[in-house]
Amino acid sequence: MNYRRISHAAMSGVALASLALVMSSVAANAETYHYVTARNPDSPVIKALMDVVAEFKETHPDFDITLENIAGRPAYLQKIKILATSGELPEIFDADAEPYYEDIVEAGLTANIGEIFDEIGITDKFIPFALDYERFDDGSLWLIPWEANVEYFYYHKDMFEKAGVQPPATLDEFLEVCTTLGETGVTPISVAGKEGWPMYRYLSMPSWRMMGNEFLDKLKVGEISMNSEAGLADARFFQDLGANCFQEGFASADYTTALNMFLSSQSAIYYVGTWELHSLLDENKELKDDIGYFKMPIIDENDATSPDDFYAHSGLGTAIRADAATDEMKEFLAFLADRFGTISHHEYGGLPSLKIEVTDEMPQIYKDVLADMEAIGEYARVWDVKLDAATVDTLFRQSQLLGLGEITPEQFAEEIDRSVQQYLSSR
Amino acid sequence: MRKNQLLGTPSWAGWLFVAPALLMFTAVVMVPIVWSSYLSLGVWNGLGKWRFNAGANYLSMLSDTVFRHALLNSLFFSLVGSLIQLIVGMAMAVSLISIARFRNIVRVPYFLPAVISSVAISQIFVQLLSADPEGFINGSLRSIGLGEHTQPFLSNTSLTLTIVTLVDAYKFCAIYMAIFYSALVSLDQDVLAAAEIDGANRLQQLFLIRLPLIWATIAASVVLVVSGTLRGFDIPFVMTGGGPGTSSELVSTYMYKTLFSQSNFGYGSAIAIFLVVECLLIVAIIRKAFSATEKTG
Amino acid sequence: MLSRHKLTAWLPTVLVAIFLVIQIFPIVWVISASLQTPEALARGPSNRLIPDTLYFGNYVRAFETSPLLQYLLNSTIIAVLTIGLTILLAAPAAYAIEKLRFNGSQIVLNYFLLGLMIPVFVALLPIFQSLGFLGIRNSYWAVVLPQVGFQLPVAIYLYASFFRSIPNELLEAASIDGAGVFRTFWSVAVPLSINATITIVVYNFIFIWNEFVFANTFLTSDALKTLPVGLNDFVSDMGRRDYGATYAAIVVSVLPTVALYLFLNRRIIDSMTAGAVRG
Repeated sequence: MNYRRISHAAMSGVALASLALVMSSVAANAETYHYVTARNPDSPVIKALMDVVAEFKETHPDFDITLENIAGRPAYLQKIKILATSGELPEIFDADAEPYYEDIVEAGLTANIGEIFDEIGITDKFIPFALDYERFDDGSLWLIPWEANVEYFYYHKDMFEKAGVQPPATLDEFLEVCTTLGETGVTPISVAGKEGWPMYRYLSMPSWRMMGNEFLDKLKVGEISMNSEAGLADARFFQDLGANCFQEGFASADYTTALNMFLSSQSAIYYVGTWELHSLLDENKELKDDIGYFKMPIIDENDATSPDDFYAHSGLGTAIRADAATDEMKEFLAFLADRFGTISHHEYGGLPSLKIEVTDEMPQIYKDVLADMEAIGEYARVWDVKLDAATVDTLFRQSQLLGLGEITPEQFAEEIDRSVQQYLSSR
Repeated sequence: MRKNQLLGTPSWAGWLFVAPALLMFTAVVMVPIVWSSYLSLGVWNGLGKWRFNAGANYLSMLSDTVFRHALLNSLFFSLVGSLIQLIVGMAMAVSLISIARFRNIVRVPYFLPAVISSVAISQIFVQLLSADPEGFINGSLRSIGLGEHTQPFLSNTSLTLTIVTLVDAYKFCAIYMAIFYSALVSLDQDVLAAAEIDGANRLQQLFLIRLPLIWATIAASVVLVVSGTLRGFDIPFVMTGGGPGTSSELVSTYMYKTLFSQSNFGYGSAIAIFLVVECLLIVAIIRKAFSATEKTG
Repeated sequence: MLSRHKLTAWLPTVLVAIFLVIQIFPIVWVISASLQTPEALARGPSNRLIPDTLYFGNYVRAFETSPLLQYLLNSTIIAVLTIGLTILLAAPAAYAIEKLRFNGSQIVLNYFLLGLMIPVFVALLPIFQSLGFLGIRNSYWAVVLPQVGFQLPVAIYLYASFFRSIPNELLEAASIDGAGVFRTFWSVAVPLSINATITIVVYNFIFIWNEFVFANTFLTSDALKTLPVGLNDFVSDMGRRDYGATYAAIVVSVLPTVALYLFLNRRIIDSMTAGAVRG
């Protein structure tokens, strides 16, 4: 076979193939809802949701939800923004109650979940903070919450014992514990500095204890400076952590690396929400023997927030496109409110946004977590959801530099303030 | 001016041959860029109305410190990356051509970094460079007695840019190896044989005879590598996300964040247009330089 | 003198050996890492080049979590269509620019070269909308057509340099024999350009095989996903990655290309010897 023939055959073949492959676009069924999600198909939320869909289909055979999973937050955001900009948002998609989603709501693109929940009478079935977390500042609700998470510091008991330290009650003690742990040769804390949010949680703790959510609420609208007492307390605390507590190279560590360090006993403390609880349990669904946990430490008894108040939220919420909030969808949501909580918890070990009954056979750790949720008065708002995206980008860069000791707390404060001002003036 | 065209070809035939490619290219590549230049002149979050703001986006680039860092980083990334890819690519090609046996077998592994996806290469290097827990590179440094050089490479703001530049160059240098290799192999053996008889040694042969003969290929490669590195994205984006701080932010990664995480389509498009113009200018200068050397040489 | 001669004789071999080690290093590392247990991988990045365990569970998990063979098939179909179409469009265009001189052919070439400067992200939104308009979103074409557009400049650039080097007499001889423009192109220029074609295929394949952005944006059904997009199947909601399965998937995605290159190797070398990119 000579080249000439190969080349001709190849070219003709491709030409034919190009012509022969006829494209078909599947016509959308009116009762099939397309759900573009950032959640993994194996996550408790999606598994439980699809189980509920399957049950609902027994009485509503035409109803269906098709899943499209886009893993990795940047890839998901890129996709959803392309869809939104083209005016082709899917019937169901995930979002946080952040400024960009506010724009989507203002454009009238999604359904008012709060009104729907009231209309079909399921609002009371949800854990209040789980609903509140998805609300905008004006109190309106445009997202369905799925989870109820609280965030703890988990620690290795044997490492604490070896260093002769106790779980800290105050933030000062917390820094001392870190230093003492470091002296025994262990890495005190592993943190995923590449992800952003774990850094912001640490960063925000002093100001939240001093002023509660007032600090973030005011920072966001430029009424308080990061260069204030509370703001600088945050920056100094974070810089101390970066210098004495975080693992070497924390700024480039991803979620998996930081978590694995803790799970394989290479770091003593790890801060995470209860969505990751399953990784910390033994075969009896109890917390592993070696692992303990404590809540966000306080500063002192003059704090604005109580020791029982800390970070609690419902994670990524889900929006329904305005025209997809049909009667059938409402019927489904009512059905969901009855079934989702139970299935999510009992089948997949999740902590759902719906109230679930505390039973005797429930593992102790779940009972404790649910009790903690019950005790929460005010919960801490999440910075990367409340602030605008450009400020979050600045926060991300500057937190890394602050933690690495490359800028001073004052420089950090100046950058954050400038970014907030820029956003406010562009509005 | 060009002596190279065929006689007696009707002009419409040329257009007919070029039309399909022209249409496809215009629709896919040129229409979007025109659309972007329009977007770049206003404010748009992708949802509401586009609002004209008369070049304010371009003005804000001047005062944007992140953009300034990204631009300097990008120039470094492109200059150093291009040089490494061309020099290493050439060294690979020349050494390959100089060995008598196993050439064919060696070529396949040479290509391995190029066929592994950028995302995968980045993840592999992130693991290799890890500090705590210790990765391969820090571990090796320690075991050969260079323990004092172990460090968190990707958290060191003075190293990250160099690292992403090296990894990017590493991934793509085999491509230029292939291009140079095929050009070198196709050189007229008689000319080389004559040179050998003249007593030119290997190095002289290389620099005085072989390289000038493939000068046009080198020029073409320079254009490809520079335009490629100026738009470099995947490896810095996956390895460091542009950080820590702005230490490894490139114009392209910053543009991506502005467009898709900040939904600032006006400013993002302005950065994109800047990138296109920057690239055009640099490539025009390179082509000018090469055509000048071609005339004098 | 003698030792110096020996040195220059050995230098290329030594260099080739060094390059070889450097080039195969990451794949050796990732193969070794893919054979370690999840427990070992959780303790930290693999520091071994020769695996101490031969644990195949990562591969089992990779295939269970993710339809890798389907992705492999999708990637292959997309690569074949994209490369085929690129060549089908680029070869005649470059031929016309270099050999069928027409008014403005040099401008056309420069116009195509503009494409080398344009970042793909600016095109996402308009292309997405046009694909919707054409009704071909969520088909292989949704990834193939945009990629062809972006690969055309390089292909035309390389083809043009090649055609420039073919003497006109060769082509004119054919037309004197009575062959028309199309016949001359098809039966003289195309067979001559097989070498340039292979270089272009090799060059473009690397970019097409690894393409992520278009595939992630324009394809919505799992059944059409490509390998680079599929690597994200091993990431959970909050960003936890199954590294063992990821490494296994990387190995699985690289092996077919290596096999292909090994298979084509003979061909590529033979043809490249005859000449490829000339100025």
